[in-house]
Amino acid sequence: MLGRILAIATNTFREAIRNKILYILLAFAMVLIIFSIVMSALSIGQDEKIIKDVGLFAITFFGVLIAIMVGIGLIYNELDKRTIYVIVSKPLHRYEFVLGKFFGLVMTILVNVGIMSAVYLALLAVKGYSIPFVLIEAILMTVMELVVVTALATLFSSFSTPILSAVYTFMLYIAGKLTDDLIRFASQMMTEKAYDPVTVADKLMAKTAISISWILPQLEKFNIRNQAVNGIPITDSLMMNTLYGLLYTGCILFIASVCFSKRNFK
Amino acid sequence: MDVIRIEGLSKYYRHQLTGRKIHALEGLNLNVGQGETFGFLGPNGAGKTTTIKLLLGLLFPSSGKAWLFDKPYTDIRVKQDIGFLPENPYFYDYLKGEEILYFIGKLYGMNSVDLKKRIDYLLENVGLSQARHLPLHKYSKGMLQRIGLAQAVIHKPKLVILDEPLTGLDPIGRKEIRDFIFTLKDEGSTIFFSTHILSDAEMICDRVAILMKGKLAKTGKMTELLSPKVKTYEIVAANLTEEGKRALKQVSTRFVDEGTQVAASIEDESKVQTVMELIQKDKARLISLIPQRESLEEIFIQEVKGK
Ligand SMILES: Nc1ncnc2c1ncn2[C@@H]1O[C@H](COP(=O)(O)OP(=O)(O)OP(=O)(O)O)[C@@H](O)[C@H]1O
Ligand SMILES: [Mg+2]
Repeated sequence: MLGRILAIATNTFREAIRNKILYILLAFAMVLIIFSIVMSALSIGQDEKIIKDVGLFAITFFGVLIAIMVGIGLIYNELDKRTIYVIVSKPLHRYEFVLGKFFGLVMTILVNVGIMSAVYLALLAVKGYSIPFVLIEAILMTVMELVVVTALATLFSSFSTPILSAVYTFMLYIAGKLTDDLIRFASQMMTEKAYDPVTVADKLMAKTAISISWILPQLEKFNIRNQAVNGIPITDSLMMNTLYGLLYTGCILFIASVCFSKRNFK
Repeated sequence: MDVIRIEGLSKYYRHQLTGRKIHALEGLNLNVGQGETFGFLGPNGAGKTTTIKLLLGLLFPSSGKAWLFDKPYTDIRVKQDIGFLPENPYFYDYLKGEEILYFIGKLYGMNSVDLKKRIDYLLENVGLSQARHLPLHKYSKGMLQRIGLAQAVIHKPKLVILDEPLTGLDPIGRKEIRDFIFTLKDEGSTIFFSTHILSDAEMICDRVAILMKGKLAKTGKMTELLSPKVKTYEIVAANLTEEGKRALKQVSTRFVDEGTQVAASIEDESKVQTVMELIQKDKARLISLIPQRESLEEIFIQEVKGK
C-alpha cells in the first residue's frame, strides 16, 4: 500500500515541479521577500519588524497560492485527460490514489516553503537580525495551515472543476480565517448584551454559529506570525493546534476518498 | 477455470439533458478461457468500451456480476494479473517514455532491478528504444499506442485487455502491433481485445463475440463463423485487348474497365481456368487473383441488418 501511495506521490510531485506556474509564484515570493528591504528603508526605526513581517507574509501568501493553484487541478486533470483509466485499472484502492495525490502536493509545498524560508532566514542573517525559535515555529505552523488548505483543494478537486475548486477552496480559506471572530462573536452573544436580556433566539443563533465553526477549518489556530514578529507570548498550545490540524486534514481526506471511491469514470 | 466470466452484466447511462436511460450494455453473458485470444467486436457505440471499463472497475454496473480468474472482479488483487491498454491511451505527457513504464511498474509493486531490465526489454520490443528519453507529449499516436502496450504488459500479466489496439495506426504500425500480440499469445497470455475492424480480428482471434447495441449478437470460434468456401474470385489484369475485355465481361458478375487495367469478379470456380487461358492468349498481364471467402465483415453486416 505504502509503495503505491509513494509511487503516486512522487509522480504528482514530478508533475508539479514541471509546472511553470510554480516557478512564477516562487519567483514572486522571492521578489517580495527581498523587496521588504526597500520597504523597511522607507519606515523609521521599524526595519527589523517590517522585514520579518513581510517575509512571513510572503511565505504564507504564496504558500496558499501554490496549494490552491496546483491543488485544484490535481485530481480533476486526471479525469479530464483520462490518465485516470490507466491508474484505476491497477491493483490499487482508490483511497490510495487520493492519498498519493495529497502527499505529492504536500511534498511540493514543503519544498517550496523550504526554499522561501531559506531565502527569508538568510536575509535575516545577512541583516544581522535575531532569529528566535518562535520564528521557526511560526513557519512550521504555517506549513500546517497549508496542509489543511491542500487537503481542501484535494477534496474539491475530487468532484469539481478547477475553477470551482479554486473558488470553494478560497472561500473556505477566508471563512477559516474568520472562524475565530465568529466564535468570539457567538460566545459574546450568549453571555452579554448591551441592553436587552439574552433571548432563546440569541442562544440558538450562537449555538448554530459555533456548530458552523466546528465544520470550518479554524485556520487562525495556525497563525502565530504576529506573536513571533512582535515577541508577544503565545497562549495557545501549539501541540493541541497541530493535533487539530492533523485531525481536520484526516477527516477531509476521508471524505475525499469516499467521494472518489463512488465515482464512475465515463 | 475461466479467465473472464460475465453474467447478466448491464449498464445504463442517463442522458445529460433529458435524463432518459441509455442502455449501453444489457444482460451480457460471456466466458473467456485460459490462453484464448478473444475478439470483442461491434460497431461504434455497441458497448465494448463500457464492458471493459466495468470489468476493470472504472464504472460500476447497473446490474450483473463478473469474475476474473474465478474471483469477484471487485477484488483488487485480481488486477495484479491483468494488463490494460485503454482506447486512445492518454498518459502523463510530462513524463518520458521510460518514466511512465517505471511508474506503472511501481504501481504493480515491482522491484526496481527487475523493472529496469523489463523496461529495456519492452522498449526494444515495441521499437521505442530511441524515444525512451523523449517526453510523451512529443510522441506520435502510434508511439503512444506502443508505449501503451508496453505498460500493459510490464508485469507479465496473465490476462491482457486491449481496447482498440490497432485503431488509428498505419499499415506498418498495425503489423508491428499484431506481431506483438502474437508474441503475447505465444507466451501463453489470455488476450481480450475489442475492435470494430474485422480483418484484424480475423487475423488474430481464436474466438469472437459480436456485440450490437449493448446486446450479445453472436459468439463462436473463428473457424465456425467463417465458412471455408470461396465465394468469389477477384481478378485484376492489365493490357487486355478489346476482344479479351468483352470475353471477360461475359463470364464475370462484376466488371470494371479502367483502360489499361480491368477488375472482375467471378463466382464460378470452373470459369477461373477459362479466364486464365484468355489472359494468356491475349498476352495480357495478370496482376492479382484473390479468392474471397465469406468474411466476418459480411456476418457483421448481416447481423446489423437483422436487428
Ligand atoms: N458517459 C456517457 N454518457 C452517456 N452515454 C454514454 C456514455 N458513455 C457511453 N455512452 C453510450 O453508451 C453506448 C456504448 O458506448 P461504448 O463507448 O461502450 O461503445 P464502444 O462499443 O466502445 O464504441 P466505439 O467503437 O465507438 O469505441 C453508446 O451508445 C454511447 O453513446
Ligand atoms: Mg470503444
